[in-house]
Amino acid sequence: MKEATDKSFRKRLGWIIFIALAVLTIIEFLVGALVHPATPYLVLTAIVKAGLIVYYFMHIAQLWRKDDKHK
Amino acid sequence: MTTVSLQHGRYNRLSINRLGLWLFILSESGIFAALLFARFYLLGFERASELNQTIGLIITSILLISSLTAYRAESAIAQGDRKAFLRNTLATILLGAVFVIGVGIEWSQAFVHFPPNQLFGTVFFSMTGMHAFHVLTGLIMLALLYLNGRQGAYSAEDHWGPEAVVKYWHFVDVVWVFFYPALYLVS
Repeated sequence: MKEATDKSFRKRLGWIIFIALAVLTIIEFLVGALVHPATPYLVLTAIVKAGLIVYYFMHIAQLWRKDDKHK
Repeated sequence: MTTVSLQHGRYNRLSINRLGLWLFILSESGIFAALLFARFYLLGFERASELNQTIGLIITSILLISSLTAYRAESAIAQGDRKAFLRNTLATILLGAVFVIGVGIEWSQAFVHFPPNQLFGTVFFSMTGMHAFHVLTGLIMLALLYLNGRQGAYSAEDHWGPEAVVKYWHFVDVVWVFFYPALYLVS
């Protein structure tokens, strides 16, 4: 039961982060096309996007976790 | 006589592997950061109007989708779901291959508008070339994962290989998160 809940949570989390990244990419594209100067906004969106990937997809927090056991 | 153990104090083998991979990623980041800074140092906030914005957006979206499939592949094998792992790994490989083809199309147009001997061409081909090379190495590793997975390798208890390759793939995506606006969108 716990395993099924964990699986569904991971799946949902993946989609949520993906949608957030897609929305930020669209915003980035529109800012690049319509706003001048666009660079400060582009830097901000890039940092947020990179942060989401590093935290949720690359699981950087695992570095501080010592109880994971898989090989 | 003492015995050598894989347990180093409170750090187990997995923690050490993860730390090693992150240090590798950090060192790779230095190369890409140097290219990114060189782009702004040489060109300021200029961008080439001939760049194909449609291709840029499409290949960015494809790499983004491949990050989702890679994440799902890793989650699947961590749960012991081999079928989903293989399906998502294959999808990631196909999306990565489409990304490389997209870069190839962009290059064929770029050679006409700003060849590598011009300043923007040097910057554009260095950045996209180095990134595409990393995508290609990621694709080779994903293909090895897929082939090993088909032969029964990896499980919920043994999936450091998929975890490491997927982290590398996400890193390649993070690099593009910075390269895409730097090349296509800044003004």
